[in-house]
Amino acid sequence: MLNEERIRLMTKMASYETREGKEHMPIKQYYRRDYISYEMMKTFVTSTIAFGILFLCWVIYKMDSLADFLTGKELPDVAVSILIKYAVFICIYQVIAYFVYSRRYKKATASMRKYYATLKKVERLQEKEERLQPSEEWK
Amino acid sequence: MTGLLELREKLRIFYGKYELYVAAGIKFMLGILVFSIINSQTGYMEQLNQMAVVLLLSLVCAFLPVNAMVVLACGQILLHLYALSLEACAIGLCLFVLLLFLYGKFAPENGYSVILTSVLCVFRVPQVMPVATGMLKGPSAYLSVLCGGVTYFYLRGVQENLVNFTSTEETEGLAKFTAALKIFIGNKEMYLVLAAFFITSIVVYLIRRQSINYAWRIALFVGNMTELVILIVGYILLDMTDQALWVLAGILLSVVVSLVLEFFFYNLDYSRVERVQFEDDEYYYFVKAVPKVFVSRKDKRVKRITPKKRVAAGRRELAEELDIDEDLLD
Repeated sequence: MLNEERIRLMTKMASYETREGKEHMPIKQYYRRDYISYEMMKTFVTSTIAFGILFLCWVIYKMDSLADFLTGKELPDVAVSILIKYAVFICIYQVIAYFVYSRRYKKATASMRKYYATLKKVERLQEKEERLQPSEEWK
Repeated sequence: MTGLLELREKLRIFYGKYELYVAAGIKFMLGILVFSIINSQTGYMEQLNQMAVVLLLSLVCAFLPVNAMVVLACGQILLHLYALSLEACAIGLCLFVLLLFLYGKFAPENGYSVILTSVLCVFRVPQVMPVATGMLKGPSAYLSVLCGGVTYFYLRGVQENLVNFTSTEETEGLAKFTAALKIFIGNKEMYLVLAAFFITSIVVYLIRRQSINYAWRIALFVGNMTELVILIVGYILLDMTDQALWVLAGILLSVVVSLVLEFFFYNLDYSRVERVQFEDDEYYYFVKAVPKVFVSRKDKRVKRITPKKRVAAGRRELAEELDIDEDLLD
Protein backbone atom coordinates (compact mmCIF):
# COMPACT_ATOMS: atom_id res chain seq x y z
CA MET A 1 0.00 0.00 0.00
CA LEU A 2 1.19 3.53 -0.72
CA ASN A 3 2.49 5.50 2.23
CA GLU A 4 1.11 9.01 1.71
CA GLU A 5 3.36 10.59 4.35
CA ARG A 6 6.50 9.17 2.70
CA ILE A 7 5.36 10.28 -0.77
CA ARG A 8 4.64 13.78 0.54
CA LEU A 9 8.13 14.03 2.08
CA MET A 10 9.79 12.63 -1.03
CA THR A 11 7.94 15.13 -3.25
CA LYS A 12 9.09 17.92 -0.96
CA MET A 13 12.67 16.70 -1.24
CA ALA A 14 12.50 16.33 -5.02
CA SER A 15 11.14 19.85 -5.29
CA TYR A 16 14.01 21.13 -3.13
CA GLU A 17 16.58 19.24 -5.21
CA THR A 18 15.35 20.85 -8.44
CA ARG A 19 15.13 24.38 -7.01
CA GLU A 20 17.27 25.65 -4.13
CA GLY A 21 19.12 22.33 -3.85
CA LYS A 22 20.79 22.89 -7.20
CA GLU A 23 22.56 25.89 -5.70
CA HIS A 24 23.02 24.62 -2.15
CA MET A 25 24.23 21.07 -2.75
CA PRO A 26 27.50 21.98 -4.55
CA ILE A 27 28.28 24.52 -1.79
CA LYS A 28 28.02 21.85 0.89
CA GLN A 29 30.63 19.72 -0.85
CA TYR A 30 33.23 22.03 0.69
CA TYR A 31 34.14 22.90 4.25
CA ARG A 32 33.19 26.47 5.11
CA ARG A 33 36.76 27.71 5.08
CA ASP A 34 37.59 26.02 1.77
CA TYR A 35 34.44 27.32 0.10
CA ILE A 36 34.96 30.91 1.20
CA SER A 37 38.69 30.85 0.32
CA TYR A 38 37.94 29.42 -3.11
CA GLU A 39 35.30 32.06 -3.82
CA MET A 40 37.56 34.83 -2.53
CA MET A 41 40.30 33.66 -4.89
CA LYS A 42 37.87 33.76 -7.79
CA THR A 43 36.80 37.25 -6.68
CA PHE A 44 40.46 38.29 -6.58
CA VAL A 45 40.86 37.29 -10.23
CA THR A 46 37.61 38.94 -11.38
CA SER A 47 38.23 42.14 -9.42
CA THR A 48 41.78 42.31 -10.82
CA ILE A 49 40.36 42.06 -14.35
CA ALA A 50 37.74 44.70 -13.47
CA PHE A 51 40.44 47.04 -12.12
CA GLY A 52 42.49 46.42 -15.26
CA ILE A 53 39.52 47.41 -17.44
CA LEU A 54 38.86 50.54 -15.37
CA PHE A 55 42.55 51.49 -15.51
CA LEU A 56 42.67 50.93 -19.26
CA CYS A 57 39.57 53.08 -19.75
CA TRP A 58 41.13 55.82 -17.62
CA VAL A 59 44.35 55.70 -19.68
CA ILE A 60 42.41 55.89 -22.96
CA TYR A 61 40.24 58.72 -21.69
CA LYS A 62 43.25 60.68 -20.44
CA MET A 63 45.48 59.78 -23.39
CA ASP A 64 45.64 63.33 -24.74
CA SER A 65 46.52 64.87 -21.39
CA LEU A 66 48.60 61.95 -20.12
CA ALA A 67 51.87 63.70 -20.95
CA ASP A 68 50.76 66.78 -18.97
CA PHE A 69 49.62 64.55 -16.14
CA LEU A 70 52.98 62.83 -15.90
CA THR A 71 55.08 65.98 -16.21
CA GLY A 72 56.89 66.78 -13.02
CA LYS A 73 55.96 63.44 -11.47
CA GLU A 74 58.29 60.56 -10.78
CA LEU A 75 57.14 57.42 -12.56
CA PRO A 76 57.65 55.18 -9.47
CA ASP A 77 55.44 57.54 -7.44
CA VAL A 78 52.67 57.24 -10.03
CA ALA A 79 53.06 53.45 -10.02
CA VAL A 80 52.89 53.34 -6.22
CA SER A 81 49.75 55.49 -6.19
CA ILE A 82 48.11 53.16 -8.76
CA LEU A 83 49.16 50.13 -6.71
CA ILE A 84 47.63 51.62 -3.57
CA LYS A 85 44.36 52.22 -5.42
CA TYR A 86 44.50 48.65 -6.71
CA ALA A 87 45.11 47.29 -3.20
CA VAL A 88 42.19 49.29 -1.75
CA PHE A 89 39.93 48.14 -4.59
CA ILE A 90 40.91 44.49 -4.07
CA CYS A 91 40.49 44.75 -0.28
CA ILE A 92 36.98 46.18 -0.63
CA TYR A 93 35.98 43.36 -2.96
CA GLN A 94 37.58 40.72 -0.75
CA VAL A 95 35.54 41.98 2.22
CA ILE A 96 32.35 41.97 0.11
CA ALA A 97 33.15 38.45 -1.13
CA TYR A 98 33.77 37.23 2.43
CA PHE A 99 30.40 38.50 3.64
CA VAL A 100 28.45 37.36 0.58
CA TYR A 101 29.88 33.85 0.52
CA SER A 102 29.77 33.36 4.32
CA ARG A 103 26.10 34.21 4.18
CA ARG A 104 25.53 31.93 1.23
CA TYR A 105 27.26 29.05 3.03
CA LYS A 106 25.21 29.65 6.17
CA LYS A 107 22.00 29.64 4.16
CA ALA A 108 23.01 26.46 2.33
CA THR A 109 23.90 24.77 5.65
CA ALA A 110 20.52 25.62 7.18
CA SER A 111 18.53 24.43 4.19
CA MET A 112 20.60 21.25 3.76
CA ARG A 113 20.11 20.45 7.45
CA LYS A 114 16.36 20.52 6.86
CA TYR A 115 16.84 18.38 3.77
CA TYR A 116 18.82 15.73 5.67
CA ALA A 117 16.25 15.73 8.48
CA THR A 118 13.53 14.99 5.91
CA LEU A 119 15.75 12.32 4.36
CA LYS A 120 16.12 10.60 7.75
CA LYS A 121 12.36 10.73 8.25
CA VAL A 122 11.86 9.07 4.86
CA GLU A 123 14.41 6.39 5.73
CA ARG A 124 12.67 5.68 9.03
CA LEU A 125 9.29 5.43 7.30
CA GLN A 126 10.77 3.09 4.71
CA GLU A 127 12.32 0.86 7.37
CA LYS A 128 9.02 0.75 9.19
CA GLU A 129 7.25 -0.24 5.99
CA GLU A 130 9.79 -2.95 5.27
CA ARG A 131 9.37 -4.36 8.78
CA LEU A 132 5.61 -4.52 8.34
CA GLN A 133 5.61 -5.90 4.81
CA PRO A 134 6.69 -9.60 5.45
CA SER A 135 4.12 -10.05 8.20
CA GLU A 136 1.38 -8.80 5.87
CA GLU A 137 2.52 -11.22 3.14
CA TRP A 138 2.61 -14.07 5.65
CA LYS A 139 -1.01 -13.36 6.56
CA MET B 1 -12.83 44.40 -2.44
CA THR B 2 -14.04 40.84 -1.93
CA GLY B 3 -14.25 40.45 -5.70
CA LEU B 4 -10.63 41.58 -6.04
CA LEU B 5 -9.50 39.19 -3.32
CA GLU B 6 -11.32 36.37 -5.06
CA LEU B 7 -9.64 37.35 -8.32
CA ARG B 8 -6.27 37.29 -6.56
CA GLU B 9 -6.91 33.80 -5.23
CA LYS B 10 -8.03 32.63 -8.68
CA LEU B 11 -4.87 34.07 -10.22
CA ARG B 12 -2.72 32.40 -7.58
CA ILE B 13 -4.39 29.06 -8.13
CA PHE B 14 -4.13 29.47 -11.89
CA TYR B 15 -0.42 30.30 -11.62
CA GLY B 16 0.20 27.40 -9.27
CA LYS B 17 -1.57 25.02 -11.62
CA TYR B 18 0.04 26.17 -14.85
CA GLU B 19 3.30 27.64 -13.49
CA LEU B 20 5.47 26.04 -16.16
CA TYR B 21 3.42 27.37 -19.07
CA VAL B 22 2.74 30.78 -17.53
CA ALA B 23 6.44 31.34 -16.74
CA ALA B 24 7.48 30.24 -20.23
CA GLY B 25 4.78 32.44 -21.78
CA ILE B 26 5.86 35.49 -19.75
CA LYS B 27 9.51 34.94 -20.69
CA PHE B 28 8.58 34.52 -24.34
CA MET B 29 6.58 37.77 -24.38
CA LEU B 30 9.28 39.61 -22.46
CA GLY B 31 11.87 38.22 -24.88
CA ILE B 32 9.94 39.54 -27.88
CA LEU B 33 9.69 42.95 -26.19
CA VAL B 34 13.38 43.09 -25.20
CA PHE B 35 14.87 41.87 -28.48
CA SER B 36 12.52 44.06 -30.56
CA ILE B 37 13.44 47.11 -28.47
CA ILE B 38 17.16 46.40 -28.89
CA ASN B 39 16.65 46.08 -32.65
CA SER B 40 14.59 49.27 -32.85
CA GLN B 41 16.98 51.27 -30.65
CA THR B 42 20.28 50.06 -32.09
CA GLY B 43 19.54 47.93 -35.18
CA TYR B 44 22.92 48.60 -36.85
CA MET B 45 23.39 45.00 -37.96
CA GLU B 46 20.87 44.20 -40.67
CA GLN B 47 21.13 40.43 -40.29
CA LEU B 48 19.96 40.67 -36.66
CA ASN B 49 17.31 43.29 -37.30
CA GLN B 50 14.65 40.80 -38.33
CA MET B 51 11.52 39.49 -36.68
CA ALA B 52 12.57 35.87 -37.25
CA VAL B 53 15.70 36.43 -35.13
CA VAL B 54 13.62 38.08 -32.40
CA LEU B 55 11.16 35.17 -32.34
CA LEU B 56 13.92 32.57 -32.33
CA LEU B 57 15.77 34.24 -29.47
CA SER B 58 12.52 34.68 -27.51
CA LEU B 59 11.66 31.04 -27.99
CA VAL B 60 15.07 29.98 -26.68
CA CYS B 61 14.64 32.30 -23.67
CA ALA B 62 11.18 30.90 -22.88
CA PHE B 63 12.71 27.60 -21.80
CA LEU B 64 15.86 28.89 -20.12
CA PRO B 65 16.44 30.83 -16.89
CA VAL B 66 15.94 34.59 -17.16
CA ASN B 67 19.68 35.19 -16.98
CA ALA B 68 19.96 33.55 -20.41
CA MET B 69 17.85 36.43 -21.72
CA VAL B 70 20.28 38.90 -20.14
CA VAL B 71 23.25 37.17 -21.81
CA LEU B 72 21.52 36.98 -25.22
CA ALA B 73 20.41 40.62 -24.98
CA CYS B 74 24.00 41.67 -24.17
CA GLY B 75 25.24 39.61 -27.12
CA GLN B 76 22.69 41.21 -29.42
CA ILE B 77 23.66 44.70 -28.24
CA LEU B 78 27.37 43.98 -28.76
CA LEU B 79 26.80 42.65 -32.28
CA HIS B 80 24.82 45.76 -33.19
CA LEU B 81 27.52 47.98 -31.71
CA TYR B 82 30.18 46.01 -33.58
CA ALA B 83 28.35 46.74 -36.83
CA LEU B 84 28.42 50.43 -35.91
CA SER B 85 31.97 50.72 -34.62
CA LEU B 86 34.52 48.43 -33.03
CA GLU B 87 35.29 51.05 -30.36
CA ALA B 88 31.66 51.34 -29.22
CA CYS B 89 31.49 47.55 -29.10
CA ALA B 90 34.72 47.31 -27.07
CA ILE B 91 33.50 49.82 -24.49
CA GLY B 92 30.13 48.03 -24.40
CA LEU B 93 31.93 44.76 -23.74
CA CYS B 94 34.01 46.40 -20.99
CA LEU B 95 30.78 47.71 -19.44
CA PHE B 96 29.12 44.29 -19.42
CA VAL B 97 32.24 42.58 -18.06
CA LEU B 98 32.48 45.19 -15.29
CA LEU B 99 28.81 44.79 -14.39
CA LEU B 100 29.24 41.03 -14.32
CA PHE B 101 32.46 40.97 -12.28
CA LEU B 102 31.64 43.79 -9.90
CA TYR B 103 27.99 42.99 -9.27
CA GLY B 104 26.41 40.11 -11.23
CA LYS B 105 28.81 37.60 -9.71
CA PHE B 106 27.53 38.33 -6.20
CA ALA B 107 23.81 38.56 -6.97
CA PRO B 108 23.06 36.54 -10.08
CA GLU B 109 19.34 36.11 -9.33
CA ASN B 110 18.20 39.57 -10.42
CA GLY B 111 17.87 39.14 -14.17
CA TYR B 112 14.29 40.38 -14.26
CA SER B 113 15.18 43.67 -12.52
CA VAL B 114 17.97 44.40 -15.02
CA ILE B 115 15.81 43.66 -18.05
CA LEU B 116 12.67 45.42 -16.84
CA THR B 117 14.63 48.55 -15.87
CA SER B 118 16.15 48.83 -19.33
CA VAL B 119 12.78 48.23 -21.01
CA LEU B 120 11.00 50.80 -18.83
CA CYS B 121 13.82 53.28 -19.46
CA VAL B 122 13.03 53.04 -23.18
CA PHE B 123 9.38 53.78 -22.40
CA ARG B 124 10.64 56.67 -20.23
CA VAL B 125 8.97 55.40 -17.04
CA PRO B 126 11.75 53.56 -15.16
CA GLN B 127 10.58 55.21 -11.90
CA VAL B 128 8.48 52.09 -11.31
CA MET B 129 11.47 49.85 -10.74
CA PRO B 130 13.20 51.22 -7.60
CA VAL B 131 10.00 51.22 -5.53
CA ALA B 132 8.93 47.79 -6.81
CA THR B 133 12.39 46.32 -6.13
CA GLY B 134 12.52 47.98 -2.73
CA MET B 135 9.19 46.38 -1.85
CA LEU B 136 9.86 42.89 -3.13
CA LYS B 137 13.60 42.36 -2.73
CA GLY B 138 16.51 42.96 -0.38
CA PRO B 139 19.32 45.52 -0.73
CA SER B 140 21.51 43.22 -2.83
CA ALA B 141 18.99 43.53 -5.67
CA TYR B 142 19.00 47.33 -5.82
CA LEU B 143 22.20 47.53 -7.82
CA SER B 144 20.60 45.42 -10.53
CA VAL B 145 18.25 48.32 -11.26
CA LEU B 146 21.30 50.53 -11.66
CA CYS B 147 22.88 47.98 -14.06
CA GLY B 148 19.78 48.17 -16.27
CA GLY B 149 19.89 51.98 -16.08
CA VAL B 150 23.58 52.21 -17.02
CA THR B 151 23.07 49.94 -20.03
CA TYR B 152 20.17 52.06 -21.25
CA PHE B 153 22.14 55.31 -20.84
CA TYR B 154 25.07 53.87 -22.76
CA LEU B 155 22.90 52.81 -25.70
CA ARG B 156 21.09 56.16 -25.66
CA GLY B 157 24.44 57.94 -25.58
CA VAL B 158 25.66 55.98 -28.60
CA GLN B 159 22.42 56.77 -30.42
CA GLU B 160 22.70 60.49 -29.65
CA ASN B 161 26.36 60.66 -30.71
CA LEU B 162 26.17 58.53 -33.84
CA VAL B 163 28.33 60.99 -35.79
CA ASN B 164 31.25 60.32 -33.44
CA PHE B 165 31.14 56.60 -34.20
CA THR B 166 30.45 56.59 -37.93
CA SER B 167 33.64 58.36 -39.04
CA THR B 168 35.71 56.16 -41.34
CA GLU B 169 39.12 57.71 -40.75
CA GLU B 170 41.43 55.25 -39.05
CA THR B 171 43.22 57.94 -37.08
CA GLU B 172 40.01 58.70 -35.21
CA GLY B 173 40.00 55.40 -33.32
CA LEU B 174 41.08 57.05 -30.07
CA ALA B 175 38.47 59.78 -30.49
CA LYS B 176 35.79 57.11 -30.81
CA PHE B 177 36.96 55.46 -27.57
CA THR B 178 36.93 58.81 -25.82
CA ALA B 179 33.46 59.58 -27.20
CA ALA B 180 32.17 56.22 -25.88
CA LEU B 181 33.72 56.84 -22.46
CA LYS B 182 32.33 60.36 -22.32
CA ILE B 183 28.83 58.87 -22.41
CA PHE B 184 29.48 57.71 -18.85
CA ILE B 185 31.85 60.31 -17.52
CA GLY B 186 30.06 63.46 -18.59
CA ASN B 187 26.51 62.20 -18.18
CA LYS B 188 25.16 64.05 -15.14
CA GLU B 189 21.60 62.93 -15.88
CA MET B 190 22.69 59.31 -15.56
CA TYR B 191 24.26 59.92 -12.15
CA LEU B 192 21.14 61.78 -11.00
CA VAL B 193 18.80 58.97 -12.08
CA LEU B 194 21.00 56.24 -10.61
CA ALA B 195 21.35 58.07 -7.28
CA ALA B 196 17.59 58.70 -7.15
CA PHE B 197 16.87 55.04 -7.84
CA PHE B 198 19.29 53.76 -5.23
CA ILE B 199 18.14 56.17 -2.50
CA THR B 200 14.48 55.39 -3.26
CA SER B 201 15.00 51.64 -3.00
CA ILE B 202 16.84 52.00 0.31
CA VAL B 203 14.13 54.32 1.72
CA VAL B 204 11.38 51.86 0.71
CA TYR B 205 13.32 48.95 2.20
CA LEU B 206 14.01 50.71 5.50
CA ILE B 207 10.38 51.78 5.98
CA ARG B 208 8.75 48.51 4.93
CA ARG B 209 10.89 46.61 7.43
CA GLN B 210 9.57 48.68 10.34
CA SER B 211 7.15 47.10 12.77
CA ILE B 212 4.45 49.68 12.12
CA ASN B 213 0.95 49.31 10.80
CA TYR B 214 0.59 49.83 7.05
CA ALA B 215 4.39 49.70 6.68
CA TRP B 216 4.24 48.82 2.96
CA ARG B 217 1.67 51.51 2.17
CA ILE B 218 3.75 54.16 3.94
CA ALA B 219 6.94 52.84 2.31
CA LEU B 220 5.53 53.03 -1.19
CA PHE B 221 4.18 56.56 -0.78
CA VAL B 222 7.31 57.89 0.93
CA GLY B 223 9.50 56.09 -1.63
CA ASN B 224 7.63 57.55 -4.58
CA MET B 225 7.68 61.02 -3.02
CA THR B 226 11.42 60.77 -2.36
CA GLU B 227 12.03 59.71 -5.96
CA LEU B 228 9.83 62.50 -7.30
CA VAL B 229 11.56 65.17 -5.23
CA ILE B 230 15.11 63.99 -6.05
CA LEU B 231 14.39 63.72 -9.77
CA ILE B 232 12.48 67.00 -10.08
CA VAL B 233 15.05 68.98 -8.09
CA GLY B 234 17.88 67.28 -9.97
CA TYR B 235 16.38 68.02 -13.38
CA ILE B 236 15.79 71.65 -12.39
CA LEU B 237 19.43 71.95 -11.30
CA LEU B 238 20.56 70.33 -14.55
CA ASP B 239 18.30 72.70 -16.46
CA MET B 240 16.36 69.83 -18.00
CA THR B 241 12.84 70.84 -16.95
CA ASP B 242 11.32 69.23 -20.05
CA GLN B 243 11.80 65.87 -18.30
CA ALA B 244 9.52 66.84 -15.40
CA LEU B 245 6.34 65.68 -17.10
CA TRP B 246 7.82 62.24 -17.79
CA VAL B 247 8.99 61.99 -14.20
CA LEU B 248 5.49 62.81 -12.99
CA ALA B 249 3.95 60.23 -15.34
CA GLY B 250 6.51 57.65 -14.19
CA ILE B 251 5.79 58.32 -10.53
CA LEU B 252 2.02 58.04 -11.06
CA LEU B 253 2.52 54.71 -12.79
CA SER B 254 4.90 53.69 -10.01
CA VAL B 255 2.23 54.43 -7.36
CA VAL B 256 -0.32 52.30 -9.24
CA VAL B 257 2.14 49.42 -9.73
CA SER B 258 3.25 49.60 -6.07
CA LEU B 259 -0.38 49.44 -4.88
CA VAL B 260 -1.00 46.41 -7.09
CA LEU B 261 2.15 44.74 -5.74
CA GLU B 262 1.10 45.52 -2.18
CA PHE B 263 -2.31 43.97 -2.86
CA PHE B 264 -0.77 40.79 -4.26
CA PHE B 265 2.16 40.29 -1.92
CA TYR B 266 1.36 42.03 1.36
CA ASN B 267 -2.36 42.34 1.94
CA LEU B 268 -2.72 42.37 5.72
CA ASP B 269 -5.71 42.93 7.97
CA TYR B 270 -4.55 45.40 10.60
CA SER B 271 -7.92 45.33 12.38
CA ARG B 272 -7.08 41.85 13.70
CA VAL B 273 -3.53 42.44 14.95
CA GLU B 274 -2.51 40.16 17.81
CA ARG B 275 0.30 40.89 20.21
CA VAL B 276 1.75 38.00 22.17
CA GLN B 277 4.54 37.84 24.68
CA PHE B 278 6.44 34.79 25.84
CA GLU B 279 9.86 33.70 27.00
CA ASP B 280 12.34 30.86 26.88
CA ASP B 281 15.60 30.33 28.77
CA GLU B 282 17.50 32.98 26.84
CA TYR B 283 15.02 35.55 25.49
CA TYR B 284 11.78 37.41 25.95
CA TYR B 285 9.71 37.52 22.77
CA PHE B 286 7.35 40.37 21.90
CA VAL B 287 5.51 39.17 18.83
CA LYS B 288 3.11 41.13 16.68
CA ALA B 289 1.09 38.86 14.43
CA VAL B 290 -0.88 40.45 11.59
CA PRO B 291 -3.27 38.13 9.73
CA LYS B 292 -3.33 38.11 5.96
CA VAL B 293 -6.54 39.07 4.20
CA PHE B 294 -7.81 35.89 2.68
CA VAL B 295 -11.04 34.93 1.01
CA SER B 296 -11.74 31.34 0.15
CA ARG B 297 -12.64 30.82 -3.45
CA LYS B 298 -16.30 30.37 -4.14
CA ASP B 299 -16.88 27.07 -5.86
CA LYS B 300 -20.08 27.59 -7.78
CA ARG B 301 -21.69 24.37 -8.80
CA VAL B 302 -25.01 24.26 -10.56
CA LYS B 303 -26.95 21.17 -9.75
CA ARG B 304 -30.06 20.53 -11.84
CA ILE B 305 -32.90 19.12 -9.85
CA THR B 306 -35.47 19.31 -12.64
CA PRO B 307 -35.18 16.86 -15.51
CA LYS B 308 -33.60 18.19 -18.61
CA LYS B 309 -36.17 19.35 -21.16
CA ARG B 310 -36.26 17.10 -24.07
CA VAL B 311 -35.45 18.71 -27.30
CA ALA B 312 -38.35 18.58 -29.67
CA ALA B 313 -37.52 15.97 -32.22
CA GLY B 314 -38.51 16.17 -35.82
CA ARG B 315 -41.33 14.09 -37.23
CA ARG B 316 -38.98 11.67 -38.91
CA GLU B 317 -36.74 11.09 -35.83
CA LEU B 318 -39.81 10.54 -33.65
CA ALA B 319 -41.32 8.07 -36.12
CA GLU B 320 -37.99 6.24 -36.35
CA GLU B 321 -37.71 6.08 -32.59
CA LEU B 322 -41.26 4.71 -32.17
CA ASP B 323 -40.73 2.40 -35.13
CA ILE B 324 -43.98 3.51 -36.82
CA ASP B 325 -44.90 5.04 -40.13
CA GLU B 326 -44.38 8.82 -40.30
CA ASP B 327 -47.98 9.36 -41.62
CA LEU B 328 -49.48 7.94 -38.43
CA LEU B 329 -48.32 11.03 -36.55
CA ASP B 330 -50.74 13.32 -38.43
